[in-house]
Amino acid sequence: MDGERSGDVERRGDVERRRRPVGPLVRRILRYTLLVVAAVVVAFPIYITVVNALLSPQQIAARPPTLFPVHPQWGAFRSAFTLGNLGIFLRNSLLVTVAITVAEVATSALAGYAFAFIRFPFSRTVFVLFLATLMIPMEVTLVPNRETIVALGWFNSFPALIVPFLASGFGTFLFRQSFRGVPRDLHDAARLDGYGHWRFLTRVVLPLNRPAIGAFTVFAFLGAWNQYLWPLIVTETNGVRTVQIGLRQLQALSINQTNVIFAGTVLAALPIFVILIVFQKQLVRGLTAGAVKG
Amino acid sequence: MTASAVTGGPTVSPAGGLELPRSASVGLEGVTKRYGDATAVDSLTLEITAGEFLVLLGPSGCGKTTALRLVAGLEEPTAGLIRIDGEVVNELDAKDRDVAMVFQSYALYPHLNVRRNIEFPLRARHVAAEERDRLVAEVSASLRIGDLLDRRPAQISGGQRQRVALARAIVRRPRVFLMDEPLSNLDAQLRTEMRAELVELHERLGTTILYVTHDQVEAMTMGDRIAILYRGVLQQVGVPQEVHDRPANAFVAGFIGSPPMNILRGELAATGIADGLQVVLPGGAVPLPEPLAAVARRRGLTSLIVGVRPEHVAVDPAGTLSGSVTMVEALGHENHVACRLEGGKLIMVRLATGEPVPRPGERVTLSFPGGRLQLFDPVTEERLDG
Amino acid sequence: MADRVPVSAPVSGDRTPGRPAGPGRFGRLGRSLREAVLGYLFILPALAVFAVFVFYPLVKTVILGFYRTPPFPNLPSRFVGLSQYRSVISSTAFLESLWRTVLFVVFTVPIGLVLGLGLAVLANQRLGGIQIFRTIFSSTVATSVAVASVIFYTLLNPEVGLFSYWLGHQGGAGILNNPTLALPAVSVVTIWQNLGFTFILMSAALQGVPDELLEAARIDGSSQWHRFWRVTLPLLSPTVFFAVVVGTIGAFQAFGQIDLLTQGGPNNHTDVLIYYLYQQAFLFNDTGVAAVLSVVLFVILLILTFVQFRFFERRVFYGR
Ligand SMILES: Nc1ncnc2c1ncn2[C@@H]1O[C@H](COP(=O)(O)OP(=O)(O)O)[C@@H](O)[C@H]1O
Ligand SMILES: [Mg+2]
Repeated sequence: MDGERSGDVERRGDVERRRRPVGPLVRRILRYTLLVVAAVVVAFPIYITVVNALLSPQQIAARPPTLFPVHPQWGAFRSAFTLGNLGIFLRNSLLVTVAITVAEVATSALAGYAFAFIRFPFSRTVFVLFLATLMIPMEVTLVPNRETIVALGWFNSFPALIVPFLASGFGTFLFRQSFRGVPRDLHDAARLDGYGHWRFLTRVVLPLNRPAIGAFTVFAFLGAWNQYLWPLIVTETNGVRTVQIGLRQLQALSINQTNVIFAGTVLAALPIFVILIVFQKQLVRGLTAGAVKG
Repeated sequence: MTASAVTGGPTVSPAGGLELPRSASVGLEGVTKRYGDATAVDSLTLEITAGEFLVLLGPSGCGKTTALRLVAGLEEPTAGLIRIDGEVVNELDAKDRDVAMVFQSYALYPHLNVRRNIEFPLRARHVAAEERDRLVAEVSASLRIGDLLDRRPAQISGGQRQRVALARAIVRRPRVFLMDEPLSNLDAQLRTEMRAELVELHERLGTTILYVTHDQVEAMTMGDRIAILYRGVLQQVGVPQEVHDRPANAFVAGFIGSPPMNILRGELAATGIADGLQVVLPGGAVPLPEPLAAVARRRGLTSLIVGVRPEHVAVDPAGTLSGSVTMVEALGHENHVACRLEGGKLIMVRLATGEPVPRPGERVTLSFPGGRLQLFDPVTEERLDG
Repeated sequence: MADRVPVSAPVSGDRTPGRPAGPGRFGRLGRSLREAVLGYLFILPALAVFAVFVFYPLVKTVILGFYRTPPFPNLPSRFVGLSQYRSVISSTAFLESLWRTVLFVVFTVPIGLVLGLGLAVLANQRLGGIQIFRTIFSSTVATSVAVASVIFYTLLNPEVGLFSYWLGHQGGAGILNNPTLALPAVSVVTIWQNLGFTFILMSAALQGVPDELLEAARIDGSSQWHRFWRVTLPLLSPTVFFAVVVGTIGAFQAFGQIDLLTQGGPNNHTDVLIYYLYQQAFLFNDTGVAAVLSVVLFVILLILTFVQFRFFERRVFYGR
């Protein structure tokens, strides 16, 4: 995970500009054409979703199709809340996602710190166990895990959606790596100054590792928000279902309500779009962590 | 650890402002530190008196940092006792030893401004805000960093960082300062300045300083005493002059002085005049003056190690050692001439300004005027004394 | 140095005069014990979660595979040893679902990678407004699998779906009900949904290619095309490898798009391993068979992860 990725982009851009001042006009036009075509293809499903959310079902079904929101109508969004229960689903998703994200960051930071700075017996073995969890996704333990949830009396409740995800092997690994970048001298200086592990963690290590924490926070948020299979098998009523499962019900609406379906998907994707725009840097870091650098 | 443990001082005056010598002696007794098979510090015994400025000197990797960290409590010795103010502190946590450390890297917290960095140890000890501000103001004024308090470490120069690191150590008024090559990251001129400042600081605070460096100039100019460490083993402890004039062994001799002493191996031979002895060196033979010859005779040696300081070598047409000049370093106030003796060995000659300087490539003969040589045992390399 | 040196009282904090000097409160053993206790306290929350929801169920899954689930509820399940493993693994249903999963991987991973890399190269130039294109190319990371699937499901609706209309499939059963087209359609949705991530990954890797290398190649007179193949691509290879492995692992876990688009149909033509597992476990309540399938899936993912780890380790420790 590298420092200022977007900064690099700009610097590299400058270099390129110096290299080839202004390419031949034809080449420039060709490039833009390619870019625009690619952008249209990639963005079209999203675009048409938004457009359709603003059209009436009749307009959507009309042929030739309507590709622009002529006379936009916002009623579909209201219907998504009333017909599709989107309000409850979004609230549930938000609650579950925030809880998971906060807890995952906290438990990963604590464990990552312990592996980076605290000497305790079998720490290496335990760390390997933590890494091993990366190879055991929820998909392969569905059956007993649902039994556990039922046995705990958590079936169809928020704990069922949250508790299994309160820890992250990836987060622990990421934080351990990042925390190890804190110079030993800083740790020693803090020890001599009278700071124990807890205060060293909170006053020095965490502030110094904001980039990694930001990246993992966004990563964890995204993962929690997008969960599908697990929430599907441990919930059965709308009161606790998340928006991804809510979309499943929404999809079943009749073809006379496709505008509501589209509006629902817009609402379900909106929070992540906001994150994409606001926390672009962290998002990129979070998604590329472990790939480009580690 | 009670307040009365403070050497020679009255108990703490609540208002502060009292000139209070805070210093404690430090003692190491057979202290050993092993990492696996490697011995970083090998049964080190060393006594540092309260208020002393002791320099721990040695080449890189000889165990200096380890020794310092042992005293600080950042490492636990494999064997041996560590005392501060006479009390064994082996079992005492680093934070309870009442020592402060200045790190080679300065170890400033990058996310905190200078003020918060200096305050850091005070906050750990829950010092009241007013008192804290007063102490920070005092110490930052005395180190001339008062106008940097709001900056981050990244926004100040290396020399300023160095002062902040010092300030953070001083603000606690510890009994002992441990300094690990604190000047090594500064440029040459700043280093010279800071040497003087540190010495002055020590005089004012009177606090014991255990100062680690690999730079023998620093050691000679700053230390009350110098302890020389090599491969984890203590070689010699003494005041600078003593270490310089009477090195305990060939290693110390070859490490101290600028340039350091020339160390040459030679065979003993009779001069043929009375029972006089001469040493046959790579480039020729030189007579051994009588008191030294007597030592050699008494030990029945056939070969030995000769040490001669560069300032005690002369370019002398009548000299008996021959070689050729490979390099001349003109420093302005003096000249260093490197000669390759015929056996291939290099020998450094220090010439005061005014003395004629040979040119590189020139063939010269050398002599040791006055025979100011030091002799070392060829096997143990220990100093041979009368 | 200025004229005054701080002469304040020593700051020794909570030192109480009555406290015994010397061995300290805890001593060496006490100190390392405290350290160990603290270490375990720090890892305890995560360890507890892993114990209950990762390690225990993994072992339990393997064990469940030894028991045959009775045909009717409330009958005891029967220990059958390895025979259930054998029968499930050799069953046609399993082998077909495994084959479909492999097909799904083959459809999604290479194409997704090439498209993502292509977009990254396209967006990695100095042109006015390039940032807008970058944002658009990353935009599908904001759509979850469910969002993407519902969008495409509706656009592929045989009666009102725009894509059905454009593809000449209006009326009739629809693309998602076409045995030949269903899996490719699911693959297209998957590729599209992953495109933002692949683009981000490849862009980051592209930006990690040192300018000096490209400039050196330029000075050596190599063409842009040549530079891409001979300098850029080799330097991207670790990321490409990572993307392949991660994409394959992801494809083996792809559930939402199947569930929302085809539910395994038509006629099991999109019934990939994970969906087959889900049906056995939660629709037919055959925990025994589901457990065996889980173990198989685990072994496959384990191998893939292992390949990735090995590679990752080598790159981290010897590469840089
Ligand atoms: N934590 C450690 N683990 C293993 N070996 C170490 C450790 N710390 C120091 N050493 C070894 O101990 C020796 C002395 O190191 P050090 O005290 O840092 O030397 P100096 O400060 O004099 O350069 C070196 O050989 C070093 O490699
Ligand atoms: Mg050192």
